[in-house]
Order: sequence, then structure tokens, then C-alpha cells
Amino acid sequence: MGMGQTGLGVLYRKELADHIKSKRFVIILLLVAVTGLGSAYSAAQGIQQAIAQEGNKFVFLRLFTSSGGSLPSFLSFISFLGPLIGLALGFDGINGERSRGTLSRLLAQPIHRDAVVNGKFLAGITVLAVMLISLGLAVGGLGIIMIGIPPTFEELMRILIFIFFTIVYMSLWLAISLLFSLLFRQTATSALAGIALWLFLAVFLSLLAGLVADGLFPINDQASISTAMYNQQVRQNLSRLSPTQLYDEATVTILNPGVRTLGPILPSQLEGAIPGILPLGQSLLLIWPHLTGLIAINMICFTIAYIYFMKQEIRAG
Amino acid sequence: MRTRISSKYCSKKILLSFTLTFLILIFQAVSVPFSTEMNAVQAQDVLTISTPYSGITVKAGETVEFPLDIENSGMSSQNINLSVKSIPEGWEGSFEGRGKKVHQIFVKNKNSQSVDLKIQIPSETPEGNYQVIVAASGKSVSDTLTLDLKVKKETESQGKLIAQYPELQGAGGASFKFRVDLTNNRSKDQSYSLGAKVPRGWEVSFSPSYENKKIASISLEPDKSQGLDVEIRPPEQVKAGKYTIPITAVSPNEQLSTELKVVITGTYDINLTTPTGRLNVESYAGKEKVTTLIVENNGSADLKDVKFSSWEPTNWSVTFEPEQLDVLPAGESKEIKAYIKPDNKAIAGDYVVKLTASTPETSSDIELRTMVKTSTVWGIVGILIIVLLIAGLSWTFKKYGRR
Repeated sequence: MGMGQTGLGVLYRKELADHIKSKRFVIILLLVAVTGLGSAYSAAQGIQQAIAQEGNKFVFLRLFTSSGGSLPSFLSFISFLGPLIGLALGFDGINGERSRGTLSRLLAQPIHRDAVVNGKFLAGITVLAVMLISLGLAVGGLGIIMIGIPPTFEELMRILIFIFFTIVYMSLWLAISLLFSLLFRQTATSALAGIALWLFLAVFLSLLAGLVADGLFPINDQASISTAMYNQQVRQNLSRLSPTQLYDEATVTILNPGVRTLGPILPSQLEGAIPGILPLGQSLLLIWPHLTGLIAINMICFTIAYIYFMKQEIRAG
Repeated sequence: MRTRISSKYCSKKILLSFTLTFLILIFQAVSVPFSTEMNAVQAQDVLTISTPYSGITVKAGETVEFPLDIENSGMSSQNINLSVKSIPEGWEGSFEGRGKKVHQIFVKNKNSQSVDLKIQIPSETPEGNYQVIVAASGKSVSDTLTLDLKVKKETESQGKLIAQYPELQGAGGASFKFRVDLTNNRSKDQSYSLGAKVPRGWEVSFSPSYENKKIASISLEPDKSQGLDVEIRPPEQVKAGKYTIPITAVSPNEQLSTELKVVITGTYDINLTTPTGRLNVESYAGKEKVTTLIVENNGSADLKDVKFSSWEPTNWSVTFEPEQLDVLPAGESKEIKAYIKPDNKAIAGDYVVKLTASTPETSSDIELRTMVKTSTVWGIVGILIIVLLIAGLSWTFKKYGRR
């Protein structure tokens, strides 16, 4: 990028420092650490019994997927908290500076204008990555201590891919919140808009998808198997408009090698199938569209925010 | 003598009569031997001894009977003596009638009487022509009859060795039990040693019927027969086919043989496997995958019409090349190819495909664990989409970035 990115490094470091020093970050980190470690701890306790019963194939991955006792699994905690963390890191990114009057001052510096938005985004991703990698390592370390089995190479790879997915997913929400912080002047508005979108995509879209699917292909007593199939397909494809759905499907697949397909399947497709596990490559191929979709939405959101920011008129407050 | 004229006349009469008497005497003297001969000719007509079969062929050791007919055609009824006038040395001849030995019979005038002549021929009699003369003699007449006997060795019938069912069929590894009857047709006891000519590895044993003893020889009385069980046990690794096993019963006098046939149908054993023994293959959904298979004939019979079939999940297809083998010789193996094409919509993971090689007799199958992989095409498409997005983003940077 050369000269075009003048000031990006400076702004990136400044944003990073701002994040880490902020009370908001400490709260988020505590929230994630407590829930993550708590769920992993309870999962590990359940695993100890499970090993004795079922053998120890991909035991380490169960640390992330199984829910022990009353706590939900690590995976579902992250899936639930991830969007909130992304939103929390970015909802006041631009309009907060604007309301504090620091944006025009910032732009008066001898830096390129795009360095501001790029720096904010990259710093946000870095904070997310650091947080998730350290959380992942902490959970892994806790797991080794508690169940006494180190992860195999494949398990390690699957965990790393899972963390990568989570970073992509959270940065998507970061991009969305940055966009909202540009669109709305009030930080409260942009925060609410982000939460509203998250609620819609995480909760209501799947309900809506079910309504549409049932309307198009009603399942009643006379419903044929193909109707049921179409119903399920419509429901699933509509739900997949939500990045939450994409992320859930992808992480379940990557952390559970036994998952062979995500869509509805006919009994005929199961004929001759042997219950078994998919190799990492095959699991990855299965969720490749999800990864592509998540990265694409991420980049599109950021690009829109970028263009919007670059075209915006900024006056000294 | 003159004084008696009358006497002279008388003496002439006496002379005449004397001469006549003399003449008659001479005549008689001349005629006596002649008439005696004439009497003999007359006697033959009177007593006749005959048989319808005056020359027969016999074998040594045999006892033959000749029915004799003694006819009295002219004489008064009288006793007729019967005798054997000439007989080869060692032979015995006797007349029998009604089960009794007879040496004299009474024949009425113009009547006939029959009697049997029994001749025992010793078994050591060499071949040749022999004559036996019998005579019948009455008071003044007699008759003889010459019987011609031809002793021949060939006429002695051979013993017999006959199998009830000379051809048996069975699978390799089984044993075959033949029932054979051995008959001694000779006139004296014979001891037969039993034997068989078999290929290497085969076993043959003889035992008398209904007995478990295994015997190597057997002694048989004349005109007796004995059932024998011949058990033939082929070697384990025998190849299918028809085997002829000659068995013999040898006595000092004769050699009897017969052929037993064993048809071994062979064992049928087919095995389907892969060259490496690996039973898993990897394949992509909707893409045909070639798998090499080995079909082995582990049996002893040639396998004919080896067909290949498969069980696969719905919408999969499995084809073989070649689709069938006309013949797979015993002990050989052949490589075939199976083309497995998973369903286009097959979800990734492991499936079972069962491949079977079968003949009407036997079959073998393997379960191939087929791993269906997702095609990487869509993965590449995904990467392309992201590359396009990166290109779009950098274009955006270039367009809007210089402010």
C-alpha cells in the first residue's frame, strides 16, 4: 500500500491502546473469560465420565462442544457472546469520536483519511484475535490439566480453524457496528441498531424462515416426503442468510468430525453409509461455503463503511 | 459081393447116399466159416449201443455224461453186460442209471434201454483228443461204441471281476466305495491277490462286503463269488476330472481286471479380494473410481461363469470389467476392475459397497469401505469469490483512498 497508508500504523497502535486501556475491554474480557473457562471446566468434568464410557476419540474437541452440567457449551457461549463483543468494540467507533469532537482533530493530522477507518477495523480485529487465541489456549490448557490427554494434531488444527472462524465472525459484527457508527450520529442509536440486527438475525430470522417455509410447503398429514424436504430446504436456506446460522453450522462441523452433512437428507442417501468421522479436509470442504460467505459479508460490510466514510463530509465540531 | 445082386443095387444106393452126404458135408464144411461170418453181421443188427453226441469238447477236470442207448432188435430178451473197454489213464468211466452204478442191464427183445456214461476227466489232463471205448455184450452178441473227447484248455471259463457301478462321482476329499464281485469259475480253489494301479497319493483298499477287514488277497472255492468293497481315497489336493483306476485280481492261473472310474467334481472355492488386501477406497461424489480386484479360484475344480455383482447405495453404480469370466481354472487368479460411481448427491463420508463374485456353486464377497469426498471444485470457487472481493476492496482503496 506504500504511501497510501500513511499514518495507518500510528492510528492502529493508538486504537489498540485505546481498546486495551478501556474499561469496556476489561469488562468484555472478564465476561468472556469467566463464561468460556466456566463452560470448559464443566465440560471437562463431564468428559472424564464420557471417556470411560465411549473411548477417547476426539475427546479434546468435546471440551468445546459438550455442555457439562448446567452450563451451556463453550461453543454456544461464544456463538451467543461473539456478536455482542464485535458490536461492543465498534458501535461508537466513528460517531463516538465525532460526538467527542476528536474526529476533525484527528483528520487534521497529516494522515490519509482512510487510515482512520482501516486502523479502527484492524485494531478491533487484533483485539478480538488476541482475546480469542488466549481464551482458546486457556481452555486448552485447562483441558489438558483436567482430562490429562493432549490434543492430537488434527484436533489442534480443528481448534485453530474454529478460532479463525470465530475471529472472522466477530469481525463481521465489528464491521457492521462500524458501519452503524457511521450511519447513526448517536452512539446509543448505533448500539441499539446493532443489537436489533443481531436479535433479528440470531433469533427472528429462523422463526421467519420457518413461517415462510411452512407457508410455501405446508407440512400436514398429506405432505409428501418431497414437500417435507422442500420445507426443510427453504427453512434452512432462509436461515443461512444470517451469519449466525452460518457460523453455528460451520463450528459444529469443524468441532465435530462426525457431522457429515448440514442439510436435510433422505433415508436413501444414508443407505450403505457407515457412521464414521470425516477427515479434516472433508469437514473443511463441507463448510467452505460458510467460510466464503462469512468473509464475503465481512468484506462487503467493511467496504460499504469505507466508501461511506470516505465520502462523508466532516466538519470541525 | 456078386452073389448078392440085390445087395449090389443096394450098395449103389448107399454109395449115392454116402456121396450125397459127403457132398453135403463138404458143402457144409465149406459153408461153415461163411455162415459164421454171416451170423456176426446178423448179431450187430441185433444189439446196438449208441449215443446222440459221440464227440464232445470238454475241459480238464470236468465230469461229462453221455446218454447211451442200448437196443436189442433181434435177440431174445437178455442181460447185457456193460464195460469200459478203453479209457485214457487216470480217467474214470462208469455207467449210471437212476443214480446207481450199473454194470449190467436187461434189454427186452425189440426194445431199448438207456444208461448214462459218466466220465471224470482229471484236471491235469493235457490238451488233446482222447477216446473212450465202451462195450455192450450179450449171450452171443456184443457191440462197442467209440466216444471222442476233445480236451481243451480254452473252454475253461475265466473267473470274473465285475463292478456293480464302475463309475462313481464325488467331490475331492471324499472317498469312493465300489462294490466289486469276484467269481472263481475254475474247477478248483484259487487264491487271488488283489491290487490296483493308482496315481500318486491315491489310496485303495479292499475289504470283503459287510466286513471291515482290509484284505490283500482272497481265496475262493470253485464256482463261488465274493463281493468286495473297493474304497478309493483320492488325495486332498486332487484336481477335478475323470480318473480311471484299473484293479486286478491275480491268481496263478488267471489274471482278472476291471476298470473303476472316479469322477471328481472338485471343490469349489472362490475368493474375491484386492491386490493389497486393502478394503477401502476413496472416491468423489459423482465420479467414477476404478478399483482393482483379484478373484481367486482356491478350489480344485475350474470355475465356470464367474459373475460379478454388487450391492451399493441407491443411485450409485458399480460396473465390472469384465462383467463375467467364462472360466477360471483351478488354482488361478485373475484381475478384474470395478468402477464405483457414487451418487452425485452422496454426502461425504464412509459407505459400504458390497462386491460379490459368484458361480452357481459358490460365491465370495467383500465389503469395500468407500469414502466419498466432496469435490474441491466449490472450494476453489469459494477462494475465487474471496479473491474477487479482495480485488474489489483494493479497487475501493485506490478509488477513495487518496483524500
